[in-house]
Amino acid sequence: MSVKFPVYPRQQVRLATRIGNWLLGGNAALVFGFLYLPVLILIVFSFNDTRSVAVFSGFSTEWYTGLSQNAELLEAAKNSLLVGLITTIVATTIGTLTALAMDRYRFKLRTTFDANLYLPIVIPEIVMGISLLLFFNQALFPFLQNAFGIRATTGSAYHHHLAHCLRHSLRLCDRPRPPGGLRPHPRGGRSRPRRGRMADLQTRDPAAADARHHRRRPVGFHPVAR
Amino acid sequence: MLKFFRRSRTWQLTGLISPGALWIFVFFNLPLLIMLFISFVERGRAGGIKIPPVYTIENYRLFFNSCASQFSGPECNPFLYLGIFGHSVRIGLIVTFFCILVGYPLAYFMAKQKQVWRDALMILVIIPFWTNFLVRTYALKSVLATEGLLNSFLMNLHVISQPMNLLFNEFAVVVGLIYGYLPFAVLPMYTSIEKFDHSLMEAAADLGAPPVKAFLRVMLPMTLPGVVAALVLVFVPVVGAFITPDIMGGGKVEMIGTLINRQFGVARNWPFGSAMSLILMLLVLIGVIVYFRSSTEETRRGI
Repeated sequence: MSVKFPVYPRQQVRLATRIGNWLLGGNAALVFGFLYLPVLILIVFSFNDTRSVAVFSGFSTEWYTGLSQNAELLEAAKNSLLVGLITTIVATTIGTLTALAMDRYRFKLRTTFDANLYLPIVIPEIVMGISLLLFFNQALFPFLQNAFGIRATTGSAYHHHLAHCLRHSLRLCDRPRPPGGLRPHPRGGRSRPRRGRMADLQTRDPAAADARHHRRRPVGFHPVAR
Repeated sequence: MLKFFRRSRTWQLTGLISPGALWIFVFFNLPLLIMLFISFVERGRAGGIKIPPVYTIENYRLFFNSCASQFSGPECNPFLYLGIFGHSVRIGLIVTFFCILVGYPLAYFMAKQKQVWRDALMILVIIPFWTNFLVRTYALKSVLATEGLLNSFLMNLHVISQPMNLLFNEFAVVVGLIYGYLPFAVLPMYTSIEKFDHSLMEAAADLGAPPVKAFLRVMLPMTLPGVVAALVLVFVPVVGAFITPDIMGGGKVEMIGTLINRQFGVARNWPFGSAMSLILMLLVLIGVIVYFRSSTEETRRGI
């Protein structure tokens, strides 16, 4: 008894592949068009000399001159920049520390902690916003008022933003390490060969070391630590 | 002091992790706990809660039976809130379906390109992430508006004789949500397709599998973690979305997010809003658990 393999004529396969590639390219073009056309149109019509975003009647920069004279708007832009700056600094700092801890250390409830860091990304914005508003108005500010006599008002948009950014900065730090990046520490380290669990980290074979790294490691174990 | 940290790995870990853990606890977990508390007390007269607090489960009952309120009239529909929730889930499913349907081929297309093109396309997918969500939504709105570009374009071509009503209905909300969340779907799928070894497809072809079968039996199962990630990352935020339905739906399309928003605004029923938020949170938790079950730490990276 023999298994019968179906045979596809080469011509047919080529044609199918070509059609498939065309479809894929067409899909990509459509998606990028969908994502970018509205924004591009908005940019083009920002130079329109009427309020319309459908009929381009003439080139003008009146909206931009109006923009530069609107004090309220400039103030808002300044605030945005400030919030962005502070957020970036704090989130990157905390995010880097946390990412280091997540990558280099194994501890109890690590996966739970990881999941807890994921929640702010997927949580619907309304739940996040409302819970923070409640937290600030119902808990933190009354607490500050009673304990220290500080009167504070809501700036919670900023904190919400930070919690969100923290998560994102962490994701960025949490990249796979380059292969072979796990040699013994250049400064110091052991002179005699290691035995047991840490043995092949000292070998010169980066692949083996890398494979070892990505396996589950016990609590408090790290190849670089002295 | 430094020596101390150098010696003890436990202290190293504590030092590294405590700022992040503390931040997440104080500004994320604690607010949710407060929300949990508020969802179990009676409402105050003008918003807020009754002081001293009176404990009740009425807020949750109200969600499952909207006639439980004392204000409900005789022709009350008990499934009002459940219906809105179901409606949100339906919109979420439609949006997720289209995001994956369109996003998977796009991710595949990107993964097939040369490195230079791949990076360029990747940046094109990421830029919408960096662009203000409101700006993008308003941009889409201006295109779909009655006097917008699409309508005037089609009328100039004499495809239609009078402008279509493309805004302020469910269609607009779905389009707006797909527009907003498509990049969220593409990125995780791209990550897993890029890792997929395409020689496996050749192997499948050599063993006699037609392309469709090879895709369904080899490529799809192996890139499934990316698809599941896309599913969770799109579905969960979309169900709770409230900005897009507000802008694109013009207050005519009710979703659970807009409903919650209203409880803290005009309706002034904080406890009920909190209860609904927590019911929504349950959905989020299920999503995250599904995601964590279906992925390993390796596949979760890069999202």
